Amino acid sequence: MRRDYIEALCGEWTKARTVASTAWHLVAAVASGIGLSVVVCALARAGIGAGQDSTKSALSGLQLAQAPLALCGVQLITGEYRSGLIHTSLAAVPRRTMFVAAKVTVILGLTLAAATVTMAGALLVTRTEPNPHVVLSATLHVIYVGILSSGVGFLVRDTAFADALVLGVLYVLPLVSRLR
Amino acid sequence: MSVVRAEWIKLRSVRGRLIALIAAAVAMVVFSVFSAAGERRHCSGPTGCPSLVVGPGGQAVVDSYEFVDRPLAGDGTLTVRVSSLAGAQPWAKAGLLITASTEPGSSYAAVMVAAGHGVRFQYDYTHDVSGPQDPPGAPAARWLRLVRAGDTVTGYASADGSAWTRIGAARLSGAAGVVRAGMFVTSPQNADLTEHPFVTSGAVLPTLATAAFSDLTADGAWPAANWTGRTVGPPDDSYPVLTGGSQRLGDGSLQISGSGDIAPAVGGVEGTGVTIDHTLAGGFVALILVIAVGTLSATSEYRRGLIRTTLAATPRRGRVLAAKAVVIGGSTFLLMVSAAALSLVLGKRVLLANHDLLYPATVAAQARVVVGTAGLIAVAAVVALALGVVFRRSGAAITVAVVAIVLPYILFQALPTGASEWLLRVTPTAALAIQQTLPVYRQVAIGYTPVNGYYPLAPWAGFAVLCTYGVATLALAAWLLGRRDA
Repeated sequence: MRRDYIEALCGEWTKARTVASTAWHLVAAVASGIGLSVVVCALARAGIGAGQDSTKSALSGLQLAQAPLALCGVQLITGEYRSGLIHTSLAAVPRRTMFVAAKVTVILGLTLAAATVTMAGALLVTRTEPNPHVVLSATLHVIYVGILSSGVGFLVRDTAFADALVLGVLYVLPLVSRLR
Repeated sequence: MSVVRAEWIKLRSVRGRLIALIAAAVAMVVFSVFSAAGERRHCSGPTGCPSLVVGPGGQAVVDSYEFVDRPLAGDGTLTVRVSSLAGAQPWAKAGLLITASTEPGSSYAAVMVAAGHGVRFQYDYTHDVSGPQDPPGAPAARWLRLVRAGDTVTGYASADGSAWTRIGAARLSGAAGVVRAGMFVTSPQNADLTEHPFVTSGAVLPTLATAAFSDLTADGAWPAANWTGRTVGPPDDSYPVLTGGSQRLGDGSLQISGSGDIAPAVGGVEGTGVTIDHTLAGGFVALILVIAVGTLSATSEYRRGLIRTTLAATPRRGRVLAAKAVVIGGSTFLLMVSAAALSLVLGKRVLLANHDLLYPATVAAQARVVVGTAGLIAVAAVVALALGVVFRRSGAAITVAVVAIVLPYILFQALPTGASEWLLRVTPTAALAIQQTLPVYRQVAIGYTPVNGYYPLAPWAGFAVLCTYGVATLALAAWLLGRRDA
């Protein structure tokens, strides 16, 4: 049982590792996240005095980095449906819950790894003393992004609509529900 | 023409895309109504829900002040000296006022000393005329005079009470018979706000100003009556005020303390009402779906190889792109105009049923908001189409379109005002200025910032920024389409 899971995990890891788009997505997430954090911190320091929560500014790059991370998760799932690899995958791992668990584990691992690098990089580059509460809530948000993109990928199966749906939930729902 | 027809058939014969477009329209209405329903106003005070005070020009106004007045039956002149004015607010006002009635929102004209802005002549809430500049070293103009002739009121100021300078005149509406004339004092709310990323904290508090009036003379058709003090204002908490009052001082002068403002209402945290763009929040949901459809109408042709057939049928590639843009932009625009109009109508009903104070807007302004919002979404669809041709992959195209249009809108709340205004000048998000319906009034000192609903560009200028991006991406797409193998 446990061995099955580790084997499925290895398979998923190999698939994720050998697709060029995975690396590109993660590199884009780290670069855009740190870049935006640096810009926001520079602007915030120029415009606002002391007393604000600088950790929030330093981690605001995640607002941008979450897009490539979500697309990476979606792509790892819908890519299989598009190419038909899903048939082979399910033949190799017939227990579908096991397959989903392995897939989500790999996606979450990649997402969290990239987000950790982004957050650490942003905090180091902007020389910000991290506020543990903000770091924790940002980490939880990244986990949410990973689970959301996996779920939508399995539900929608089409890259374009899954991307639109995930980006909609990440960027637009907060706007619609925002209390003005 | 046949190219446009061909593209239209491609759009309508793919069921998923047609459903997505219609779903965008439905989502816009549904999310707009839900969002409006979330803005329920809770009225806890004994006076119930605040009411909207509307001025003679049809705008939402604030009309709260302390007034010591007498009825004036015909033509007449009122002269007074403001011997002192103590108020922390630069726009604390003390002076003479003639109004059609003391009902909030009535037509009026007033000449006043503003604590930090010299002598002013103001009328009907939105009009503000600056008086003579105080010459340096000389005593400031503190003598004020209002002259009523028929329905016209003229304001004068003087430094010594003998040499008078005319500042301005106004015709009052509904002021043919007996009007109320007298001295007033008021002092606007003070917003002590601090900007943080994503939140603005602080409080909006009422202030009180106190002024002393002396050397009062009244000539003309004044029926026998005493000067009576009263607090003018709606009987609710629609604008924060402190308790004012008036008393006769030992030297014969009259001291009046007042709180409130006589001015147009403003939006954002310092306003009490909501603007009509709050009925179109669902537009963002529609935007995402429409971006997906726009991208797919380009990328799916590449995925399935249909692009080769398309280009074989119409060898002039620029024309194919133009036809695609016309079809996707046109059909989106038509759908979204109807959806936005329906959202506006339903959203207004929901807001009013929720006791929200909905600021009135002219029919022209409402039409501009509806057409502009639909245009914004249609141009976004065309941008997405062009990006689809550029990237030939839906993921990248959708991400770039969503991030370019929506991310600045989220980011500007995390940035200080200067940076966010810059963001709303140069990014495609500038087009949201098309939804602004409240003008900026220099006689009301609030933060005219994007967070409060005031955009740095004029409505159509902001829309033009998005259109520039649209033209640029289309040009890039046309160039790449002609250059690359299909």
